[in-house]
Amino acid sequence: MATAVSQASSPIRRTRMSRTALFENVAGYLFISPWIIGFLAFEFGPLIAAGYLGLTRYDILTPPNFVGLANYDKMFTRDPLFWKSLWVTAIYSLSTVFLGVILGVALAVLLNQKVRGMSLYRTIYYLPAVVSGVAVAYMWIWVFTPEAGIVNYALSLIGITGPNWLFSTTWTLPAFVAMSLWAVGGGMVLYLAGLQGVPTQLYEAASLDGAGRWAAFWNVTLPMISPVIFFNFIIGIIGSFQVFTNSFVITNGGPANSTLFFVLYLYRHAFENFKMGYAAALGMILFIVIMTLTIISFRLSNRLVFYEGRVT
Amino acid sequence: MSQHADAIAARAPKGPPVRTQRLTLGRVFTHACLIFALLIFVFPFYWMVSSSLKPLEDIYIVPVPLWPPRPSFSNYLEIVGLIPSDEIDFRGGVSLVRTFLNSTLIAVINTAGNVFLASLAGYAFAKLRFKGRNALFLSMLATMMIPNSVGLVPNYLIMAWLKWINTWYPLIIPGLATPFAVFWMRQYMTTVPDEMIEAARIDGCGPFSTYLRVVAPVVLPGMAALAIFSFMGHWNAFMGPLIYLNKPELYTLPLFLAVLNSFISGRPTPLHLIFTASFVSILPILLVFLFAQRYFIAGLTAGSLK
Repeated sequence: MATAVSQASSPIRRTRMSRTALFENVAGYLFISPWIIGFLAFEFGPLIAAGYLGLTRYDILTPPNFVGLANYDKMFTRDPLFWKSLWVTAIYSLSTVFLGVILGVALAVLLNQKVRGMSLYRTIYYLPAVVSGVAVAYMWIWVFTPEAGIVNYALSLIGITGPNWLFSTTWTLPAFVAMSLWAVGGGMVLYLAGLQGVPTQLYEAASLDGAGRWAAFWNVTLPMISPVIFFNFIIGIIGSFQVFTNSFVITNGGPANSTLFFVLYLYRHAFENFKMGYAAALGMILFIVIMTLTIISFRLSNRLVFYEGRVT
Repeated sequence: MSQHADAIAARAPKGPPVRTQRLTLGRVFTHACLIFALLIFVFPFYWMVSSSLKPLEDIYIVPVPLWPPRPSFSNYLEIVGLIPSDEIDFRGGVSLVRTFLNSTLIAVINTAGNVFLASLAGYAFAKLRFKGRNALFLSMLATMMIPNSVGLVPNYLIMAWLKWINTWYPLIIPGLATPFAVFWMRQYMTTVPDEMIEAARIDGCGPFSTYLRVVAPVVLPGMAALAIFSFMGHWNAFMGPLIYLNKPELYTLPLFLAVLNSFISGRPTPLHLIFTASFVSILPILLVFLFAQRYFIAGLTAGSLK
């Protein structure tokens, strides 16, 4: 990314005097000022404020009361639901991201085989990725209903009695993972574009070296699309750690907190119990967890992701 | 792009008959997988639509008939209030039509504002020279990773302090010139040749008229893709409306759906109406996507591969 910046910063030759330059400075700052204001007021400011509020007890009605690290102390030592929600979210996040990558790449590879009607398939596979929210959550409730639901009906056709998905502590989380995989087309479209950008010579070279299809996939395709996989991986981690709507609408965290996602837990503290200080502290933990995962991913990516010296 | 795909496929081994046969089997397998996946992706939509055409009793028929036995649009008429309903009691002026219009208004205002302000900022980052530009741009990239939910509590307190609770401002203002949108537009702006900008300057255009007359028309596809993203994001948004709105007449469509149960007096839960309202709420997104998918997919892939 640094190279992209320096490449782009070479443009207009400075022909006129410094008045033009001054004017351009003013215009530049003026044009980016909406972002700067938004950033300070709704992102950076709140982040700092969350850091402070996390050290207080605050119920909105009375002013914040500084309590040091008490919130974090409680969280780590006396709040089993904190650990539960972190665990639920982590399991969900890792499952959806890994399965999402595997399924997304598999579908993209299938579609990349000069299939007739490819663009139609692509459109329809992508559709689930554009809808989300409450309407889709209602749809899932019905899809996973034990008697009249389509999932258990399909299972019954092959002789399996399906579980009571949304009321079973074992099966709710897998059902949520399945819901997110329904939208796997979002990643697939990107992998497909990546696959179509792999130069043909590489496959020719591989086949000259005696590589079969599998070896070519493993040694050519995968490394070449690894930057796209990495991009989806990071976006997926950040997004899946913050899921809220489905758990709020479908199960409201239940049964027995088996779908108590972290942001739902945070929401309850903030807007149902009005423990703003504790909720802010939970937000800081979320921030640290996501940042840590992102940094680890970037570190690993140096070894696992192949960046060709290409210009796109 | 598809040239590559064709080229790859064209190199498929032509050889002894055994290989050809294996290839054919492979093709059958490929198509079987593709069609199976297609069914999985389409069926929930189909089910939603077919349930919306059924009266309540027919929803519980097991196994589910593939086609509604007595299809009718009366659910749609009932949910928009065109035929009298003894099941829905819309209190406080909340209705599907009203919340649909609210959602449309919020999403359109935000989308227009976001595309305009973000493209202006993207233009500045790509083409204007000002002090600290690269440092600011890099810090913006870094902040793109900050998860939104972190600032949930402080943001709420800021909105309360601004007296913006029970207004649409908290849903619109923070969504203007978001880092992602600025980054997106900046990437498109870098593809505009400097010569064009230089020529406009020589003709006496200032930075803003250069943006308006020269740069904006060139990056229109990027703007279109951003507009679609933006619209979808705001159309589906749930947590913001949930936190900031508690006057029913201000509700957005997702919020209306979420509380639909509480506006319905009938028992058992009128699933047929819930399905109908749900389908109405995803319909605009499906239409926007189907009509604009050329921009959308092109923009999406260009953005991720840059």
